[in-house]
Amino acid sequence: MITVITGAANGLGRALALASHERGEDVLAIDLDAQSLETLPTKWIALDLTSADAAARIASESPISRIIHSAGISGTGPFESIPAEHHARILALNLEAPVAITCALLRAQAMAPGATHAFVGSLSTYTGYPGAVSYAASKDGLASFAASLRKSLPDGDHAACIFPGPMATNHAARYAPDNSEKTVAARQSTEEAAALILKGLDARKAVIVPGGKARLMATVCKLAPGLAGRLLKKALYEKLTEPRL
Amino acid sequence: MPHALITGASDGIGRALVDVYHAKEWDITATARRPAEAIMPELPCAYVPLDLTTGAESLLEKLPPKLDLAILNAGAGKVAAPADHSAEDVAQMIALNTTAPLLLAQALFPRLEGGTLAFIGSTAARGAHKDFSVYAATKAALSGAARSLALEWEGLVKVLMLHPGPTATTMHDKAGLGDIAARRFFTPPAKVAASLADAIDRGKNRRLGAAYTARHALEGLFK
Ligand SMILES: NC(=O)c1ccc[n+]([C@@H]2O[C@H](COP(=O)([O-])OP(=O)(O)OC[C@H]3O[C@@H](n4cnc5c(N)ncnc54)[C@H](OP(=O)(O)O)[C@@H]3O)[C@@H](O)[C@H]2O)c1
Repeated sequence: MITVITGAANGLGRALALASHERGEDVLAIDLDAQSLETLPTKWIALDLTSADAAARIASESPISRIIHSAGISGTGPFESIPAEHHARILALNLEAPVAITCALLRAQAMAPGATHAFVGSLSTYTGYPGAVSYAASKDGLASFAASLRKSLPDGDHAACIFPGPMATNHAARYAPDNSEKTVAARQSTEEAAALILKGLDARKAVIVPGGKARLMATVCKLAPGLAGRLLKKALYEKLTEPRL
Repeated sequence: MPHALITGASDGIGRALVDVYHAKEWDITATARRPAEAIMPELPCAYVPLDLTTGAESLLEKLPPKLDLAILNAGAGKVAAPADHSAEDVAQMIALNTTAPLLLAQALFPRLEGGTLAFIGSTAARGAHKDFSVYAATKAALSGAARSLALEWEGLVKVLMLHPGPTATTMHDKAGLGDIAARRFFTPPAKVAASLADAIDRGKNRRLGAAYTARHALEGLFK
């Protein structure tokens, strides 16, 4: 029985791989970056998830009891200023790859009975994400896919979508406009997020919002999406003077 | 006269939208894949044949410098369990329903300032239909993009997200839905197009939900 974690070289994916490994699971860590993967105590393969043979390579490790699709990139800045190829790349890696891999794993019967498919969405689902249009698109696509998938899986199998709040990762450092000490200190550690996510997956929750702060943000956004959207626009979009890819 | 671009205008809802804006005496540029001979002379406007998943250069060349409205409506689905979607199915659907409209919106930005951009989604977007999982995801993605872009372009371009419900077009045959009884209750495309145009007029997002479909199905029964 294998636990597959994509995007496992860094950030949340790495924390999920380590936490799953510590619980005694047989983890297969996947990412592009072999150098970082090498430093993990788990089994790993360096793999471009958008390549044609990605699904087959993962399926060959079956039976899979849990797969967490954590790999993702972003691109922040005014929509029109981000190169078209980059928008396309975000949709290919964040949305197309996990959807196509899920379909292929099901077709190959690579999942163990009772298996879990988990996807990483974004809190922006409740508001929109000015400054990251195609990222928001990819994450809303995943949330919808997880909801449909849950209906189509055999009884006992599970699909979940995770909606993390701001975490202290390289991803955030790369794409966020403000990386002052204070802002970074307020972000959730990936270890904490990973522990809460695994707990949610064990409890077979369909929607996992890890931590009090993320839950508070989700609630505020749900109650006042218009206001939250405008605040996000002020806090993020208007501070992004040039695109970050 | 105001000028509108309508994609997916050779059939179904897009074709009905052409009639709505033609009746309002707008100038229209229509586009879809099939060759002009297949829809002319009935189509009452300029037509550019183009597969939108291969880029939009040839379309952009033919558009006027200012557009008052762009309705990005071209789309397609597949009805099947996730396991029965090939990698090619997934790639095609995301390319047509999500990536193509986003990239076209980007390319149209300079022409659209002061105008309206309307994305056509689907009430299925929220997910939770087991055989429409990939299609729903592509439309949810489009919807997430529209919500974000509306905030970014506020005051520059009005960005709208319009979600039709089940509509009596040939889309369902192409998607492999089969002859289910519920299809009798699907709304005629002319009605849906009129409602979408009305939402565009009012500058409001709209979802033509179950109540809308039921109301029009009842109207149909009593006619
Ligand atoms: N019918 C429904 O129940 C329903 C419900 C909710 C949402 N929608 C959405 O509403 C929109 C219109 O649907 P419809 O029912 O009118 O479908 P339709 O009758 O099948 O029309 C689809 C249009 O898109 C064009 N098209 C397809 N692939 C294309 C490509 N690769 N490049 C350029 N054009 C392409 C088609 O023309 P060619 O074949 O000539 O290219 C046609 O004009 C779609 O986005 C659909 O997802 C439909």
